[in-house]
Amino acid sequence: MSIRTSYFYDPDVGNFHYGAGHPMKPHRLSLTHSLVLHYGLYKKMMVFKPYKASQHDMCRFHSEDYIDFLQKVSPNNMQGFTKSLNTFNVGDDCPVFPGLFEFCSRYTGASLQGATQLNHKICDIAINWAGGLHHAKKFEASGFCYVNDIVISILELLKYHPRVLYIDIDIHHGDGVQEAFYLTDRVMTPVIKQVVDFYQPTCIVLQVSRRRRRRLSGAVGHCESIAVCLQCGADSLGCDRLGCFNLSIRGHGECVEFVKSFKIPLLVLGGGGYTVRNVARCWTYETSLLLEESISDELPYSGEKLYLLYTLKEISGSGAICWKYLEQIRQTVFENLKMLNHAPSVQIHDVPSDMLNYERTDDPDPDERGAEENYTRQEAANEFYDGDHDNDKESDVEI
Amino acid sequence: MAANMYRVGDYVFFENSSSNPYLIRRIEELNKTASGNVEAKVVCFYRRRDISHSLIQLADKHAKELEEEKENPTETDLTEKQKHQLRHRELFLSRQYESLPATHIRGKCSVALLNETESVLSYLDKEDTFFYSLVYDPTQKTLLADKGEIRVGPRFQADVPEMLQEGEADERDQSKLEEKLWDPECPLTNKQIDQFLVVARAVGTFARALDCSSSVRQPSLHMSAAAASRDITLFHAMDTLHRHNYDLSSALSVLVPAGGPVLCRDEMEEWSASEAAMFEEALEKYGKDFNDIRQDFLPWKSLTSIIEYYYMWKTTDRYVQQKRLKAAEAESKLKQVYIPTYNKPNPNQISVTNGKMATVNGAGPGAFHAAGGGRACESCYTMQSAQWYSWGPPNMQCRLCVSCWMYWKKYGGLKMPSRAEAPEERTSPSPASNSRPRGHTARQSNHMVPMRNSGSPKSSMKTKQAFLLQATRLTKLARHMCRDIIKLRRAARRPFVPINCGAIKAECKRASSCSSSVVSLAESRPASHAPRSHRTPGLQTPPPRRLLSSLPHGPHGMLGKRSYHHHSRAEPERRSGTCETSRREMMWKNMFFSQQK
Repeated sequence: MSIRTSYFYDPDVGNFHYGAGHPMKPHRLSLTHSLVLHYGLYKKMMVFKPYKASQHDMCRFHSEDYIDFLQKVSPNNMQGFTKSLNTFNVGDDCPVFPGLFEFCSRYTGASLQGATQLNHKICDIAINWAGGLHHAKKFEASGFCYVNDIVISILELLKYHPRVLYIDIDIHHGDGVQEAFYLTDRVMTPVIKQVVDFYQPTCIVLQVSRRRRRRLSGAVGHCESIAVCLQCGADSLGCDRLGCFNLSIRGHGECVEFVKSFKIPLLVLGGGGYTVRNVARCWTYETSLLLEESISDELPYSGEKLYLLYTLKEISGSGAICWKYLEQIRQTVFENLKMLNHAPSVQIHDVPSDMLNYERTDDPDPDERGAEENYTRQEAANEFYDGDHDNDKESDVEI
Repeated sequence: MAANMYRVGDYVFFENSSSNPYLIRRIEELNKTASGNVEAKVVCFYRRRDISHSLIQLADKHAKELEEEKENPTETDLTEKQKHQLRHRELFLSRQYESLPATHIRGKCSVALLNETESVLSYLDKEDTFFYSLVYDPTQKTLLADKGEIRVGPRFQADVPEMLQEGEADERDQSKLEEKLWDPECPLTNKQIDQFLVVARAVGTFARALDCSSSVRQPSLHMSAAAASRDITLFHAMDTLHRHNYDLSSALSVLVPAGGPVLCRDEMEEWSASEAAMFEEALEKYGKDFNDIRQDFLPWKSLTSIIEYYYMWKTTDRYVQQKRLKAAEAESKLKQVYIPTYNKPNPNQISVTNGKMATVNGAGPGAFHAAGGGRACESCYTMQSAQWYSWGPPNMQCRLCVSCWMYWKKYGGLKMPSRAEAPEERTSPSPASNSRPRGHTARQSNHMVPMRNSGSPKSSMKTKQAFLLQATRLTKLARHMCRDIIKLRRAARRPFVPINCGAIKAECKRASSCSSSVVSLAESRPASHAPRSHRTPGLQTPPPRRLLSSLPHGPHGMLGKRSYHHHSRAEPERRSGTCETSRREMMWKNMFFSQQK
């Protein structure tokens, strides 16, 4: 039985702007959509124009006054809301931009509908690249996220599935989702923290996927029906404006493919990703993986998007890491993960990484012959004597 | 050389004062000022010593809590020295920026966020590495953890609904909610769909040919064809197919209605030339503030259309040209700067050759430091060093050897945990005269440190409050004899607890009765453990044993003119046992002699 895939896209969701200088750019969604069309992936899936989530839908998780505030605030009346701005952590990393609430309702509605379709078995995989904003909390915004569509859609999934597995390959820890489901065991979020391996460059993912498969299949074996929610934040890619990992698009796609291989109802969401051209290509590639369509590495000719200069899978300077470093990097990556917790809510700054140098250059090469001095023998004292009678000193002994 | 190249993002040492430790900063920007100098905009890091004591306690408490919370506490106990040195490696991040001249850079270092998985000891092994875990706000004087926490409570957690039972209805009615735009189960093949798209583009090209306004904007056929191939046309074509249930003929007829061939225009095409010009002007003026641009320049356009137009405009030639100009401007913004190694002598350096002392605060002319006869390094007590640096308050004349000086500059503390770490550990160094029951000469120490004789004839130490306490002979003797009763150290720590004078008096009286026997004993036994030294002239009653000879520091020339009493007072409590015994014997002698008089 072939897999049915649903794809949600609101044509206006790309036309919002967070404000001057802000790294989050909804425009990447229209770019992704355009690429999906030009690669011919559009015709392989069920495409939906999603409905816009209502206040009631959002209040399934969020507090009412927070949603109320989001609805009312706008750049023109911000001054009257200073106290609320502080309480709800809006204004700095999560700026007030025109159309804020509409933007939230569009992406939330899409995620929610994806979950609903999975529940009703209308599709097996639901895709919403506009969603995946995992930092938003119950009553405050955080890390460029205002409404946590992931929590809302997981809540919807929980109506029909006893357990939901949430996997997050964004470079930033999905703290909003973890906090929301901290006390329940129906949603497995802690798994992510130990699943360090998703953050590794391609080669390690290949190695480890077998191990993780065992762990996951153990989990899957337990439950009859389980659903998976996969947040594919693209800021774990190399050359991201904010992130500092070095995944290639291919490596990122491996994770998606791996999760898909379990053949469980899967909700695929977007998330972070601040280098627009990389994000669009990555998500297009992942769409093709989900559809099991192979697409060429060359970008299709598309008049408007000529400024995507690279071919599909390439990111400048990505993926190249030496093996030795990789072996040591396991522990370090885990530490880096912790270092990068909550980074979006912090003033943008680079996180330093440890430089480990494992080349030993001081040992001499054992295969090489050393200098001549090491190979001479000691000369005997009487080496050059003429004969028995040639003595150093006169001796009494006659030979 | 790479070592002297500093780029944006590096952690560096800045020197702003010759006697203070380096400042640790992170370079955020490098700018060239009008005068041609390079200035660095930096983020500040604070050392432990820069933060008030109460905050430090808070930080330590926080660290202890973290230790307890850790799942596998494998940390072995650190030695005192390690703990001491580790304190120097801890920094506090701040969000403050400041601008410093790049010429003050003295070297690179590295600062990392402390994470639980790394052993804290590893920081001690590497040079110039620091860690931080808390964020310090200098204006509000607060310390915050950089990491967030998971908060638990009904305010934070979601309400998880129960699973629906079989047959229970879900409130959501699918059909009303979303709109399907495409079904992959369509009867059309890929080829047919592509053909339809080509037809749609052809229709669009023809429509542009017929339309007057379009033909102005796209004079050539090539341009019309390109315009007709834009996404909007294609999406429209796909929608049309779907709406007509994938029936090609009816879909085609929709493309060419009675009015003429369908023309789909997106924002790029819609806008007139004047609107485009206004947009570019607004962008120059306001930057990417689209709300303002809309309000002031293009109020008849909706915000979404402006944003859409902006992203399309970015693909045009004009944008690319502008970008090139901007890139050329940005070239002037520096990415890295070369700072040569700073070789000028530090004013704190004590020059040995010409015998002049050059301290920062001008601690007085005429002072002379003999190379071999100077004080030991305050931190490691070495007497040998290629170069000496004066450290601490000028009247103290403390000095550091080369390695300890570098350690001080880089890490803000002394290498060895010693009592001489005065500025950090004591709240305020007072002229310790009041707390010390002994008599003082003019040479007092401001800190609770053992005073060392530097051998100079005239001390250049200037005390703020000169205090001379002339204790009687009996008092001085009593101090030695009744040490057990007085318990001097204990008393020093409890300044408000009175000393039991009556008991001391009683003891002294008792002891003095047998003084004569002790003195004779002392005379018969020479002080073999104490090295002899020459007799100084000028002493009226030269005792057989010299007090100073048993002490590790240099000649006591300056004390030759003074009497024993003053001289002996200069000795600190914590001398080795042998010295104290010899001193005690001295005192017996002294007392005996004076009493004889």
